[in-house]
Amino acid sequence: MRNGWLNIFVTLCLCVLSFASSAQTNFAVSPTCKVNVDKISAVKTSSIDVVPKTGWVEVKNPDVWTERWPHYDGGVWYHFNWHWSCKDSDELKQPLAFSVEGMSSAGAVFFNRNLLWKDKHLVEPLSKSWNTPRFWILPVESLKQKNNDIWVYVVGNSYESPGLGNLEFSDITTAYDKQQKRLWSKRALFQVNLVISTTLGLVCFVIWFFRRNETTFLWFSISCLFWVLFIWNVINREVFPYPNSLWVMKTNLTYFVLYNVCFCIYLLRFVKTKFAELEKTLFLVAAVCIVTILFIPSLMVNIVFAVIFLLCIALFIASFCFVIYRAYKTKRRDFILLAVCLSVILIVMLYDISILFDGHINDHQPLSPYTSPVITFFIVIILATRLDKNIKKIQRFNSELEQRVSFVTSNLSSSLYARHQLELENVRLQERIHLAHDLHDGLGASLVRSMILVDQSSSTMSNQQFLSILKLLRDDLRQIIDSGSLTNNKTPDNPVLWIAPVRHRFSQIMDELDIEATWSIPEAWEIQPTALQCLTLIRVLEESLTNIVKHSQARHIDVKMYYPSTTHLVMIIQDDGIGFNVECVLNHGMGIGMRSMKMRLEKIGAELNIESEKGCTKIIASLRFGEGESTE
Amino acid sequence: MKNKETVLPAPVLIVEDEAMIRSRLDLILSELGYSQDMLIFAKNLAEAMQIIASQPISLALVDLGLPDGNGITLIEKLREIDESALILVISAWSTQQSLFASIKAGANGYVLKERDDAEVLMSIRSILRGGAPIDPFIAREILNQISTSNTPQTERVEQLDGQDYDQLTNRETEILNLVAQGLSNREIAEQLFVSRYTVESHIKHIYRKLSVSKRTKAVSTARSLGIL
Repeated sequence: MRNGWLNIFVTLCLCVLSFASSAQTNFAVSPTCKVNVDKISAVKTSSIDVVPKTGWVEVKNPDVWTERWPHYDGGVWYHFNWHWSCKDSDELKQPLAFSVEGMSSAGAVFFNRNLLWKDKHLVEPLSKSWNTPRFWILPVESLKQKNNDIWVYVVGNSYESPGLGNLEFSDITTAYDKQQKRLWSKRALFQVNLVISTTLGLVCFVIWFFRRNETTFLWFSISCLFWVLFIWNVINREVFPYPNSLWVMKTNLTYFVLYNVCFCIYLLRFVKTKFAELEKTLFLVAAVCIVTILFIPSLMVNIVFAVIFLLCIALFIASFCFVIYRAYKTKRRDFILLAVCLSVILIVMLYDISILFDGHINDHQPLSPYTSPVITFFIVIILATRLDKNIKKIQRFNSELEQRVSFVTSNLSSSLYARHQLELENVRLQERIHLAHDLHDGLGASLVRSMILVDQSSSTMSNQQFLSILKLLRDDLRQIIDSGSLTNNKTPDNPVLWIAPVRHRFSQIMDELDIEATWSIPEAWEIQPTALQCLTLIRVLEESLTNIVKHSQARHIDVKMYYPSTTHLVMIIQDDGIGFNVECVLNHGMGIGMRSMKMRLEKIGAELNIESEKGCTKIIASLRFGEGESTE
Repeated sequence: MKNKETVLPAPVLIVEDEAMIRSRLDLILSELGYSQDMLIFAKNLAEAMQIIASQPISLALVDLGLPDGNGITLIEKLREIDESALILVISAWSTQQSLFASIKAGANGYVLKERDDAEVLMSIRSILRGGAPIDPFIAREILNQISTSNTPQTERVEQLDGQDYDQLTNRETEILNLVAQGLSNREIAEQLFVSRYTVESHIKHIYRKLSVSKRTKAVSTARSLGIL
């Protein structure tokens, strides 16, 4: 993760410097016994099969041969000549162990001319043993008192600090413990790093995948990817899949550069800044670096790599400073946390470096690999706080939304209510208009006719006549009200129901007066009259019956309604009363009611015929459909 | 109009706010044979309530639209006090629904104020004779409610009145149907081959089933009918 650059630094330091620990020639292997290395010598060789007789030079352990033979790529034999001795002429009872910290980059180990161990590939592509500690046990039987030999064949390239790491003798338990320690710090720690980085990278990538605008996560996952590729090199034992060691180094540094750039961008994004120009420049520089790395000849590798490495460190420190600046400026908690994390990394790194340069570094355990899990923990905290913040935001938003929804809902319901009220109002208005219309057509017309009648009357009218005019008006009004309130201005379902109220009213009266009535009404409409036609016809019937009951002294009344043809409705009211003078009634203002009815029927396209003689009076209203309807 | 009744039920309570109508009713009742001392007039609901609380009433002519309330209240009260009192609604301007409500409250009949004197007189006489005036609208209304309470999918399942109507016999339903068509009692009697009085007693039965003695029940009935 963040301490990646530190790791590479440590790694490179391990490469370059770790072999430079102080040479030791005496090793205590038990409380009383010790091993003395008498002589260490080295010689260049063309292959493992050749042991040159000449050219041997005395060297120290550990050894990096570029100091002696600059730019030498190839094999080297190391020869350790040693003996053991015990105090008080004690015998060596326990087997010895000797350990090799690592060799750059591949090699083989012989003891007294017997092969103990050999790397898989001793020619390019070479195996990589530089970060793999090993130890071997030498049984007591196999030991000579003097002149024991350990031969180590190392093959390496000048650009990767070739040579042999610390070779030490000890008892088995010590060797085992030391091996475990070394395995932990040189391999397991990096494996842990690898697993954590992979996991976090994947998690962040998936987060980004579902939330594409959260580019912070993308940059973090990319930097994780490069970090994993980079770390992989530390624990990889073979060159594969790269063609040779040089390419391993080149790609590795490329990953490191990319990792640094991505991580920097991640930091910038995290602190909510985006410098388009700067990022462009950064990518450009990175591209130049990578091209340089990929095409540089092997001779210049070391110096160029060091420069690029320093550039990366400088980039990291610059972004670290910027993060601190942002944290100070914004006082945001997560920024401050990030700054603290980075500071911890920096401090640990400085500590490690200072130890390295101090010189007392024999098997020193660098602290920086340990920062990785710690930093991971911090990252988790940062992510968690971010998530928490977002969720709180969402919750706030939800409650706001709820308020808004309820507000809108109440608005809507009130507007719906208003609309409903408006509709009701409309319906009411419509009804009123209908009623006004009916009043105008029915009562109004009657009123006007009555006024004309009174106006044109030649002689003064009697009270009785006035009364009959008023009664006429009253009956008109009642019919309008009844038809209006009862059927909502629609014609009744069938003629029987239509006639029923009038029939009932007069039946009661006729019962009282002992008048017999026969009613013959069709069961259903053949043609349905309009509401106005219905009203007029029922008024004619009412008026006729009123007259009969009042004046005719009839004993029998016959009311008949029928359809002579499909477009013709006839209503006949017949009685056996005393009869009257039709001429007189219609023309001389005697029966105001009947005259009014006649006029009204004519208005709806119907006609009224009256035949009257003693014992048989017929009032015939005849309505033809399709003729008079439009004259309304 | 010959007045053949020997004993007229008295006293008569006339509840009417308009003086002219009061004197008109006075005249009509005089024509029926009533003397002034048999008549008690009330101008509003409060007065009428006081009167029925203080003395028994045999016949009441009640207007619905009173200045201080609805005549239906009075009808209910009176019916509660006296099962056998005769109550006739004489209404000026009322919807047919409210007339129906007054029948349910216990009125024996109703007549519109605007009718000719002869018709009003006829109605009073019919009441006095023990008749049961019914009109097509009332009959239709009752029939409607039977049909709605008989239809299972309607929401009025729990309605008490519906159960009351359920108790109507076939003959009663038949009579209501004929009334709804506008037939007079005499015509119905002829059609069903029974006497006029049998028809009237049937109608009185229907009314009794309809009428509710308790005020609360009346209110709920009225609500369910959409009158209140």
